[in-house]
Amino acid sequence: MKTKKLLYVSLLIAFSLILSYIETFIPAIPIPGAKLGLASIATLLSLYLFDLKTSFTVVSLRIILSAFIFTNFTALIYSLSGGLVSLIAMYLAIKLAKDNLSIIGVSIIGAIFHNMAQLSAAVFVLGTVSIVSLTPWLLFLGIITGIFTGLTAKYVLKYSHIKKQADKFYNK
Amino acid sequence: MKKGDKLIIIIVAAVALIALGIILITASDANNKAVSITVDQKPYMTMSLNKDTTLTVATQYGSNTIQIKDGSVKVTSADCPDKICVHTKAAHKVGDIIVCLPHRLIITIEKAE
Repeated sequence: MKTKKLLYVSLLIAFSLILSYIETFIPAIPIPGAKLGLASIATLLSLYLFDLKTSFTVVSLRIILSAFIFTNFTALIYSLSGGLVSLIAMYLAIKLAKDNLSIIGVSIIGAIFHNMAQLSAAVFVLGTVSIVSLTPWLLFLGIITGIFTGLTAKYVLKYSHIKKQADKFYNK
Repeated sequence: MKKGDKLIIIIVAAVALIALGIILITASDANNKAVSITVDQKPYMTMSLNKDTTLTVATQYGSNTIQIKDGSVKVTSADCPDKICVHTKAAHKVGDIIVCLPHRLIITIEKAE
């Protein structure tokens, strides 16, 4: 059973790496800090299928690997802050409000926290607060990208067999 | 979608609208505007927005070519990986900002004294 779980987690990391790669082909949104966030589909899946510890592994490995393969060290600071803050925000959202929130709401929360964390990291790295004026656009974009990734994750959970397999690890 | 999802969308959209309103209300425009360029937290150059010019900012992080034309400034080319600065639309109002995160470059429009 342990080997099987390892297999699924590795697949999730590979899946999120590919999504990060595909995202580099999509024209950039002309606002620093904003991203389509395709890779957060994998974060959402791991949160819903596995526990926080496993999700943490998926997110941090994806970010570190993609920084080495596709981008550079500066991008790593932004991605790590965005990725980890959004992971924690989504985990808390599931823990505290599972009955009132669907995966779409959780995903929106994750996207918004991701954008805000990247903006904060940019304020820190660039040493200026003037870019805070981008906040409204980052919030609007967070809603849109959050709905998109949330819907995708929802249908993956609904139509793939991965949920049934993952539930076995926790004897649900 | 559940009730909470819609609530979150409404709250976030409201906050974003209010923030946008505050930014638009407090934004003031002037006749004499200056383009200020900052690299890695340090002022790099300041120049008038009224004089057309093209310059290349080359630093240890990379290079960006900046063009001032007809009272607005834009980044025409850059060797950064994401090109977000190049895709950002031209800045012309006080407070407008163009950022190149990988090159730690910020271009802002300020009121000229």
